[in-house]
Amino acid sequence: MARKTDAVTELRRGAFELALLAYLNKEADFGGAIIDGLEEATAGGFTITEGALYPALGRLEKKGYLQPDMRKEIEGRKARKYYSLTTDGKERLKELKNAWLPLVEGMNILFGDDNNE
Amino acid sequence: MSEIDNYLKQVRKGMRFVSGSNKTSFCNELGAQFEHRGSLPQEKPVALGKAMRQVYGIGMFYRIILIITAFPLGVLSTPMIGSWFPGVPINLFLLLSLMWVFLAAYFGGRWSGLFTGISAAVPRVIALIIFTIGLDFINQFFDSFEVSEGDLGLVLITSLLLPIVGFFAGGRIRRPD
Repeated sequence: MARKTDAVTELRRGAFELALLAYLNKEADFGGAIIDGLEEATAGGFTITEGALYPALGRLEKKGYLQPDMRKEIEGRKARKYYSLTTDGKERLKELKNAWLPLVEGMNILFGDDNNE
Repeated sequence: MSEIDNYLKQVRKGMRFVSGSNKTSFCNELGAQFEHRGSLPQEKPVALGKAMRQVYGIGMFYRIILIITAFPLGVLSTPMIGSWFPGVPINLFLLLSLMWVFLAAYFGGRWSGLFTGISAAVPRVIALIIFTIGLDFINQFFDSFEVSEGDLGLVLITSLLLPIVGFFAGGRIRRPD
């Protein structure tokens, strides 16, 4: 059941799907590495935990936006589940990006000089 | 038992009723992450397991159990049963059928809700057809048995509502956060 959330959480949640799709569009990656990679790629803008990441990956996979691929890279270690974007995933990314960019530009104009504060 | 094994055991507990293959797949994924990062996830394991149960839903076995058990609940909620056996609390069984449908929708999603609703509605619709078509025949055995049009309409509406509610509730309740 959905919990009550504040506006900041809502904002982050809304952007999370886009961030995840954009990150995985660059290269396929697995759970643990996505947490570190996303944080690095967004210069600390997206700090996520497993509790947010795995359910999101699961939902995107169920929707057909992500394609999992099991790879055993190191002998004696567990196989890693790499996620990459499907064609539908790329379409979804395009759709979200088209909605996101004008929004950010508009908000930046709205904030104006406040951006430097 | 190592730290990660203990954590994964708790995750599995949170994923109760999820199919074994999904549980194993997710625990392997977490295990691989532990090997990579060298630290346990920050979340409480049971909470993480429950979050994943929301994604996967309950296993097929449990969905089928819910669908099958909805049928007798539907039978016992038929108003005509109450006419023959006044002791049967048909409204209570109708309420239970509805709760069963919600349960299936919550844990299994919209298709599970739909099929559980259909399973509960089928005996009610069969009873409706029998009592509409065969009332004269039935009255050969049960003297002066009467069912008003209002009763029949009510049975039809509530029967149709069960699968509809299951389908839409499943879509709403299990909608991603």
